[in-house]
Amino acid sequence: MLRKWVCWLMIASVFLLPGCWDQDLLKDARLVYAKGYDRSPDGKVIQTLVIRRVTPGEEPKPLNTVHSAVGSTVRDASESNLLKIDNLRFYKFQVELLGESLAKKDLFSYMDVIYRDPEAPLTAKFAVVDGKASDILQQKKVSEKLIGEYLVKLIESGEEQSTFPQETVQSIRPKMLDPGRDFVLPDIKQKGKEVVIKGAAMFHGHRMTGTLDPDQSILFTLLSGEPGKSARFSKKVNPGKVTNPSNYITVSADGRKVKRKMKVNVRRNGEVEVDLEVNLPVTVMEYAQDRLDEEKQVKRLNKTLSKILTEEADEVIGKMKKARCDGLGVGRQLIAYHPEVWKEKKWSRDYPKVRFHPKVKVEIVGSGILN
Amino acid sequence: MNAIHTCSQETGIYYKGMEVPWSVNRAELPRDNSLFSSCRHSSGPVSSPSLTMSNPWAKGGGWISVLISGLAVQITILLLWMLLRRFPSSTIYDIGSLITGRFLGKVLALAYVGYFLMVGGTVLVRAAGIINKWILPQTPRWALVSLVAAAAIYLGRGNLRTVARYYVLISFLIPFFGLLILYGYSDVDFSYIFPIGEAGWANIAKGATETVTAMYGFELLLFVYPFVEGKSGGKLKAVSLAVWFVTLFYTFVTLTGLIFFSPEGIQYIPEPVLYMLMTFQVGVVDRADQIFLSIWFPNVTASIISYIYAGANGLGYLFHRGNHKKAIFYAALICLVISLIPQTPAHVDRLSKIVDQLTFVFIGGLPVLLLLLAVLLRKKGGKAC
Repeated sequence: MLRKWVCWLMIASVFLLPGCWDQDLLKDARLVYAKGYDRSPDGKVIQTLVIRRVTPGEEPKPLNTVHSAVGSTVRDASESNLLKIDNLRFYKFQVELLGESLAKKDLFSYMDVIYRDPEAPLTAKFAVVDGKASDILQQKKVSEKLIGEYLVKLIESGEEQSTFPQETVQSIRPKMLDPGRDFVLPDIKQKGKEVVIKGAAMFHGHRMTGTLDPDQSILFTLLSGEPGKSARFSKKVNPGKVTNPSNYITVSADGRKVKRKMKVNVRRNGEVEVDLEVNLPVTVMEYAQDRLDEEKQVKRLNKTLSKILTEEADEVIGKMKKARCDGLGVGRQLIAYHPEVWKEKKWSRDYPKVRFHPKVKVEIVGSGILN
Repeated sequence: MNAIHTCSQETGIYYKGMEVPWSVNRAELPRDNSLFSSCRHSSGPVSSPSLTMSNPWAKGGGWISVLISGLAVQITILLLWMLLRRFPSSTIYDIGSLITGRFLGKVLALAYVGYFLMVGGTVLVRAAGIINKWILPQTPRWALVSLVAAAAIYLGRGNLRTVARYYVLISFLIPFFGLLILYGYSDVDFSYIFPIGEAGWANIAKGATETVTAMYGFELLLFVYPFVEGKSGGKLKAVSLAVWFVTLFYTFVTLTGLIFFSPEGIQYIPEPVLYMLMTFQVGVVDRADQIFLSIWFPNVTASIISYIYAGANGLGYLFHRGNHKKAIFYAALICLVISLIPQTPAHVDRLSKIVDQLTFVFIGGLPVLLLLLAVLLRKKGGKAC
């Protein structure tokens, strides 16, 4: 009888206990909410961690603590932080900031540790900081909000408004490895006590090579065919004083209705031409001069806006060429559909020679509750 | 012959061909179909796409390699079937004796037992490795493999029908694989697979030799064939259907991996499916890979159990007058020991390589040799019972 019971106990324990080896209690874990990396002048990595804590007591209050450590590699810096903070856990971080000094170096070598870790949250967001990532994180709070939450909100709203391309830790990896495609990341900066959107940071290969202004980065997301929920512009459409608001129009496009066509053509002499067409149905948000019920007026506005945006698209592409950032994936198209042409090209040299023909077609389809 | 008689009475799913009503006959087909497909299913989806794509040859054509290897498997199945058809009431253990005589036959049976248990052990060690890597890094391997071995003993003490029922039970999980992988299409780039045949067709065919070994499981046909009722043509149809179901599923998985990670990016990812799922947030589930692993593990267990069962049956045939219940304990134990031998990932790789090569011998070479001998010596097994 006893032997039977012992036997059952052993079997039961095999089924019940194996979980205990790997238990990791959430209540003991010190969760990293946001991280930042900078490069020190002597080439070391500075890691800054924002750790979320809840103060014990009657009224629990969320609290941020910020820690920094230096190391030769990312993981090395983490180790120094681990020495200071026990039960440090990375599996819930939401956002990672990259100081410009570091983004301009080989980013891939800093990313390796994330891609290797089975616990890493690959859906976390990235942002490049104009200046030091640690300066932003050290603030701990921005206008009553904890810095981690604030940054996540900032990036998410930037994505919604098409100012930031929608990239995550995972989504940039294939782009980093693909010779025919580059990526663009959100760019933010510290302004006084605030953190503001600066635009977008362009990358070529594994390094940051240029930046776009907020208006330009909206155009970039439109041109890349991956806008967010909406895209807004304010443009001066009437001649006259710059200071007079009624010379301006503000329009908003519904991201889902934006249509983009990209066609990569190869000429006989091997020149690459790209036809880029964006159809932008917009609603008017603000236009003090009204008269939007007149067809003639609407047509004029459509034409003017199309012209302005097409010119600006040209500028954006010029900037991208200068940064050698193939954010639209022209090289990818060549590899896939014109492999023999691609073999002849040295892309970082030949990409700026590609001739783009961007065309933005704006059409006013709504005007709010006014005409 | 003796052993098979005992087995067939014991399992009860084997009847005289004519006495079985047609409807029952048909109803049984899907079951063995799912048995075959699950076998192959289990070890595959997690690691097989990597085998295809990380091979330096096929590049973006990895998915074509899978299709080619499906074709190769189909041809092999046809050859195995031609052999098995001649001996409708015999498993591979018997067939050896019938063709080559008692002594050689026993040696052959022992070799097949060794092969089945070794494959089982290899699948076990790889499965435990994946669990260790992805969710339970601290849990020792012996604990994980004992759990599977315990399940194998429990199920294996019954008859083949018990194992088949377990397959039917878990086959309901298979659609979830597909659904979870469909999530990947939120962020894919189809241009990664173009130009089709970029790596050159010779290289893609070469890649297929790597994939073919990832399709373990169909060799269990050698053992299961006489236990499944139905006419030989129906059995071939069922197995072929299973082969193409699995091949197409693999192709789908491979393709998804390629367009999700890019052919370049996937090279460094040994478990692309898990890696892909790691990036999805499905509703409140933060990490879909954990869900996938829970669905996948019963499947792997099923496949390991069938190998242990096949091995135990052979051992029963050789040493216990056809009673596999006595053999199931030490068959499971042998499997467990095999899975505990390799200490480093490199050792596991070496074991896998050896098993891959053995597969070619035991599934390709030996059955074809036996078939040739059977044809030349005009050997044929009698009608069942």
